[in-house]
Amino acid sequence: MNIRAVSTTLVVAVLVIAVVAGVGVYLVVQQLSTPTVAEKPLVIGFSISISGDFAVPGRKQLEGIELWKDWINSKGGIYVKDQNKYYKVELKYYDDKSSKDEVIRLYEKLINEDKVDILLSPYSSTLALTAAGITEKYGRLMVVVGANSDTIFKQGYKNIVGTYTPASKMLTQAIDILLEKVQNPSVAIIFKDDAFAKSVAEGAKAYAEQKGVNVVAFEMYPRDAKDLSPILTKIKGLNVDAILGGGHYEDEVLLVRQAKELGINVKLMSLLVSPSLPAFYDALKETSEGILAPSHWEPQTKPKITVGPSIDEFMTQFRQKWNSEPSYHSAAAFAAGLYITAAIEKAGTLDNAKLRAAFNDLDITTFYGRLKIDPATGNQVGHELVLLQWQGGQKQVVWPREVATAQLIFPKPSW
Amino acid sequence: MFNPEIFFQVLVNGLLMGAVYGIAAVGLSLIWGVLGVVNLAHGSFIILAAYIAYVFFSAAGAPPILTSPVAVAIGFAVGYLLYKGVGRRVVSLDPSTSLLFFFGLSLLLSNSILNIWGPDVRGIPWLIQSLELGGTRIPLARLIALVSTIISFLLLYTLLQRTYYGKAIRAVVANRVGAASVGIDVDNVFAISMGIALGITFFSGTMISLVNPFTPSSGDGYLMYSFASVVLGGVGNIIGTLLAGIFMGLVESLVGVYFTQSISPAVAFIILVIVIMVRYRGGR
Repeated sequence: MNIRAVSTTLVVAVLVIAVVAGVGVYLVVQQLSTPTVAEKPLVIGFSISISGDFAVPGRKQLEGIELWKDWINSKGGIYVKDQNKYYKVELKYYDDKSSKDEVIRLYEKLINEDKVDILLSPYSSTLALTAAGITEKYGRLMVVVGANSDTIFKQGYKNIVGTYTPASKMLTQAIDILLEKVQNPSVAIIFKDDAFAKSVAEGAKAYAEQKGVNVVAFEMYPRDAKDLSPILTKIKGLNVDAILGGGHYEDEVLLVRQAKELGINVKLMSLLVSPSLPAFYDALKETSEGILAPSHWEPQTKPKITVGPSIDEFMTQFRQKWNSEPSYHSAAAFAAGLYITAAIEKAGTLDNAKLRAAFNDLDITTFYGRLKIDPATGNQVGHELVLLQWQGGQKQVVWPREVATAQLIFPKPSW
Repeated sequence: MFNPEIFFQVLVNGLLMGAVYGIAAVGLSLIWGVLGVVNLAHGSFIILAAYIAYVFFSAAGAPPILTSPVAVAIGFAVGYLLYKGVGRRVVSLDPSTSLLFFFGLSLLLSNSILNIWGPDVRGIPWLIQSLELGGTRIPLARLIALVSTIISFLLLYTLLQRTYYGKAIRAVVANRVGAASVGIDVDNVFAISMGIALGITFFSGTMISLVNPFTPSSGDGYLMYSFASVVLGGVGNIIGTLLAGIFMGLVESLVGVYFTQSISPAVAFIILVIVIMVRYRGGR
């Protein structure tokens, strides 16, 4: 073969390779620039309490998720890089009737029959802990929303991601206030026999003791208690500076009512969940004056958003869709959707294991606040609480001071 | 260290709550005694009455004490019609059918309550005040509930002792066949008993709304207390049932203060088990 023939062959070969590569690159680029819409939607599955004990927060949480679904779909869906497709989001959910047995059955069904892509937890620590047992068995990612008992994150589970500030931190701000205002304060911690309330109480006790606060009573009341006068009578003679604790709704309203009836005056009273809802005020009226509670989110706070809609957009859309006010349950649920979106966009896949890994490096701020997890446990460490207080029939943010809408009333006015 | 002031407070607390447990259980006892069926919808009826009181309070500011006669009338009508409509078909069948019927009814009621009034906690912020007597606090709303309970119970008792239908009801409890053979219309007695029983149950629901907050699912807890009170006090024995409720309230209060409240339901039910073992010894 002469040199000429060789060089001709080479030139032809180079040209052929160039053309093939060019066409290839062109096709790839074209594909990258115009991703298609997936035929099948991305399905987010969960159970939620539409009836039973957790129906109030359960429904609020559901409203938040539904609104996120509408919002993300109006933006075209979620982009998944490895398929170069936009996925519309669809929700697959069932009423778990606030029952553990239902949760077990429903999460098996969601995973095995419905074959959903990503799982969200049910509302409440008790139910989320139950659900996590199932999702973990199948190695499936579950984003935990509406539940923050530290117990959930101490099981060694590898596939869960938290969105609420851990329960053990829920009363620390109230203790900080007490330390600032009272010398050598003493507190009574009373709480419902329930996974969530126990985690809060134990966290508060540990924090109080570490700070030198005297915990003179640490008492639990039964789940179905219809009378809290025994536990209150027990602490009446102790003359504590603060009562901290509670559980959920019926019991917390009863706790306030009976504390007044028994004439137990303290400088500070912080409950856990019920004061964040307007029904708390309706059931107690002026008896609610000065009562505090932590909240995972309030619309008055103005975080510097990196992802998702602004608070005002969220509020407007929520009111439009549901004709009611969102609670922190709704906000956190919407934010959980944004969190999932961010993880999918970062990981570029729907593979649950890779998604879980993507959460480790995510640090985003939504209208609900900052979200960042502890990579080892999946527990939420980025999110901060605010403290609410009922003042003259209005729910005010009083702590931290940077975001406060009103000055803290301290000490709490006597009954 | 024993503090008499606290001890007296403990007794007052127990009595005030116990009276509510007791009156809540009387209707269950009556239906069980007369018709021989366990009304598993009892808790849902209690909560339905609490919501009725809530509606009157939020719409017109009427406190539950004023609503209670209305609730009694509604309860009577519901009970009477329920028997005439469906109950009579169920009562004549085997016990498991009536259990299923009442269980179904309780689901229907609690879900209807949920759909009408929503899942939020409700309470009636009327008279959240107390009297102070020598260091003991007596909550006024609870005191009113106690006094109303005593009055309504005496009325019920008189009704059963003195009136024709009261005597007929007692005759049916004692011997159904015998009562029928002397010309008592047993079917009608059943209907009236069910009416009276739900009347008193609705009354107790308004008393509960007076003292405690509630949600659509609160009925289960009251059903549990009522069930225990009936077994403890004797099925169909309304005085026994009322006293058993008061006893449960006192035990809960004493255990809660002198031990810990987290075990008080366990203690109440251990006592219940002991009573059952002693009373129903012997078997067949």
